[in-house]
Amino acid sequence: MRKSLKGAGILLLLVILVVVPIVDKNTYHHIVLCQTLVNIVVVTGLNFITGLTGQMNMGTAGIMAMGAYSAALCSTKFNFPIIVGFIVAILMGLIVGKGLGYPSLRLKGVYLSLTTIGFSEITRLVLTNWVDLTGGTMGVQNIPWINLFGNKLDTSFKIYYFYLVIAILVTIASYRIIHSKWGRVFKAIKDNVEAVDASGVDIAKMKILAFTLATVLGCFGGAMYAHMMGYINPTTFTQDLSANYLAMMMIGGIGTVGGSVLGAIVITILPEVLRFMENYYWLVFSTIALLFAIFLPNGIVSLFTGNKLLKRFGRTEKSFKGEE
Amino acid sequence: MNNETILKVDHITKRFSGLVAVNDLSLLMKKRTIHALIGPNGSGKTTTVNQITGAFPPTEGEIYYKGTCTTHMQPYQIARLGISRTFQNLKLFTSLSVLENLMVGGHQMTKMGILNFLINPVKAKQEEAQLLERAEEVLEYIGLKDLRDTNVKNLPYGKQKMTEFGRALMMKPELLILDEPAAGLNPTERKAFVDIILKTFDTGIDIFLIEHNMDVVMNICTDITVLNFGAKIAEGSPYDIQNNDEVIKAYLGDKYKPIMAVKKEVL
Amino acid sequence: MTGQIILQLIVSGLALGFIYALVAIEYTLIFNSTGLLNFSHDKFIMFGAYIFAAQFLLNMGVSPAIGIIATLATMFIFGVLVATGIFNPLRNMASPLFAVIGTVFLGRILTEITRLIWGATPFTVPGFLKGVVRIGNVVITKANITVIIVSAIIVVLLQIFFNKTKTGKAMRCVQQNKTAATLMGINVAKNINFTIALSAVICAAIGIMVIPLFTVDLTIANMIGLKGFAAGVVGGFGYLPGAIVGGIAIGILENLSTLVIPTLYKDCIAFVLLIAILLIKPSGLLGHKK
Repeated sequence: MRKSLKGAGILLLLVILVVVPIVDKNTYHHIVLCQTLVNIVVVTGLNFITGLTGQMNMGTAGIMAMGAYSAALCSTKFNFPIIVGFIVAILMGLIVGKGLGYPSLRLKGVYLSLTTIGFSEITRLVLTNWVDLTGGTMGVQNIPWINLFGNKLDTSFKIYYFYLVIAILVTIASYRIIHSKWGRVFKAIKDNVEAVDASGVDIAKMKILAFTLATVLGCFGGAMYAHMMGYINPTTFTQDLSANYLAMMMIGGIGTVGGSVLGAIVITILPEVLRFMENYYWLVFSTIALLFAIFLPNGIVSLFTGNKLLKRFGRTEKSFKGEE
Repeated sequence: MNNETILKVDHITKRFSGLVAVNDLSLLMKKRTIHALIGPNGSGKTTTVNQITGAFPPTEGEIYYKGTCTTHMQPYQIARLGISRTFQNLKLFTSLSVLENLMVGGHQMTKMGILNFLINPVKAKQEEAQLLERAEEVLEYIGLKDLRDTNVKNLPYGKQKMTEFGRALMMKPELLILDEPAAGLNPTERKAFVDIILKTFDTGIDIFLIEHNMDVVMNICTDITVLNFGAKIAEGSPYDIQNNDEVIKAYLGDKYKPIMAVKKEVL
Repeated sequence: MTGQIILQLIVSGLALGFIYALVAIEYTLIFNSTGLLNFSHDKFIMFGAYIFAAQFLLNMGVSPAIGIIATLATMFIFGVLVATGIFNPLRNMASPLFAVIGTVFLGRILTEITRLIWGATPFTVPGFLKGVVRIGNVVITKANITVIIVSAIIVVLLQIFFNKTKTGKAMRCVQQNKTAATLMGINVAKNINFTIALSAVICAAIGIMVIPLFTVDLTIANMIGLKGFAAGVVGGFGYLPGAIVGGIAIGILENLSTLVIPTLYKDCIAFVLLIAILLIKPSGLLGHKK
């Protein structure tokens, strides 16, 4: 019964995602919808390191920027085929994942949040100032449309369906990983590091793997973003963007694919809905996110699974143990 | 070191900024023994175990496992050599079920890389099935088959301890280190735990344990090392220890001997 | 001539270094007592700067001395409020993730409130701590001197506070063991409220001191907030003397770096140092083990 309900929910969501752009012909809405799919890919990645493994990644913006600029520069400055740009973006994800993960994840503590937040700011700084390569504040313009087997995806409407397929594939892969031995170990690391260590699992390697999944998907999402917008500049990739991704993950529901997808959809579309508040919409949006953190920490999915308050008050016992 | 020794602790000293927790401790654990480390609270038992399992290195001295120097290895590396452990204050994965807890314990036996996993779902399923099979074997062994899908945080303490024991068995260790296995258990649970420890020993796994309950120690152990204030004050068979004056003074108490004799029959 | 430039760079680096040190102290205080990183701390600093400059000086036209006292008092109350309403509930959650997200969004809300009240246009405060002092051949701005002196005073006052006063000692107890502190009759929640309020006051002091150094805008503290984080790690995470050493090291090194690398990239120094320290000596320059 429960399983079939879940199946029906997923099917319904899929139908909505397929039908909406056909019914709603507004081009701007199509762009927002494409953005939603990009966000699903990025949040699904972030979920591995932050949601499952419990290590704060505050640098999603910088990671996405690396992917976006890699792809954009490959196809504009160096005239490589678009597929090469995407591959370079993935490689960039691997490099960032290992390069940042190695110094900060071997150690216990909050170091990953600090290095990623720093990385993100520095990335933005370099992208803004290295004018010869990146175009500085002008950004990279005229990023070509994706060409899929001879079909040019030259409207947001066409790209949307291509990205929908990618998002579904990423979601399935991510679901499989979460429900595999890796997903289990990621959660175990969040629960109790020493016990995982004593079970013969190299924790640093596992955390770096989780982080690399996040950076690869983040960079890939960045590349998707670049080819969808056709234009990128450094001001997109700020701390606010990183915070938005965290909010998506949390508001949807930490640690689950369903949560990541719902969160990405809600947080991408909510500000558009709130636009009527004009000057106040960003304030209202941020307040909603803050209230979510305090009152519905397990996110929207917990409304369906019904354990919304369980975790919130589960701390007392743990905090006593932790402070021995 | 001869072939009969599985674990050799060689003059280790551990200082925590001035406080000497373990002082020049040496001990030899022979193969096919159940070796107990006993002593009053704060005598450095858990600190010793933590050094053997690599949670932190000793300030001085070396530790050898089957001839390999493990002094400066990480816990996971030591675990991979075949040393598995449980903890004094349970360390379980509280967001996972009993089955999943066990499966994490068996994770390091799996070999598949993540790319291969994504490309080859069939082989991935096979590997998962193997791990599952092993976990169910252990579940059966520790008698928690009915509770396989229950979240561990909803289990009573005794069952949680049993889960942790099962997790330690998952990786098929050669040496099992138990930190106070009987603590906090009621007499029935304790008896069950003692039985399973003996049964496990009979399957060929050597056991090193810390324990406060003298009934357990005196009845199942073949060798005992006694610590007091971080230093070894005695070692030998249960009989030797029970008749060692210094141990009686420091730990067992004057009246212990007669009580011991009576209790032995009860258990 | 070069020697003089180097000296000049060191002095202004020292001033900025003290700012970073204060930032590191301010977030370390909250981290030690709650286990949370306050990701809105740069917004606290910005908020303090706006309350002082936009509200008290420019809107109400009060004298700087009164303005400073009023700002510090306002920020103290503000600190107590956010501690009660946000930090204490977040501290007790099952996962620290919620707290991180909570503080990030608190920061955003602060930015939005500031923008709505005082507007988004950058401004400067004419006449506040302007001018220079000459010592031999070295020219030092009054602002830099003030920063160095005031920061040093704050550091000394904090030391006295933690070692001599009852409240300060209680705060150290809470940092070390909340359960034991509760058993000793210390009101942990209240204690944490006070710590956060203290941190907010330090943020306000930083905010006031950076006004003459930068243009006042909504992002005035973004960079110093980030570098303050780095300073804490470079000196030794969670350790107040480490925070001071780390801050000063970053301030001076990044200024000296302009001799060899383009000025545009000097902001990267703090981050490079952070990574280098994590690789070489994770316990920080002072090597303090917690």
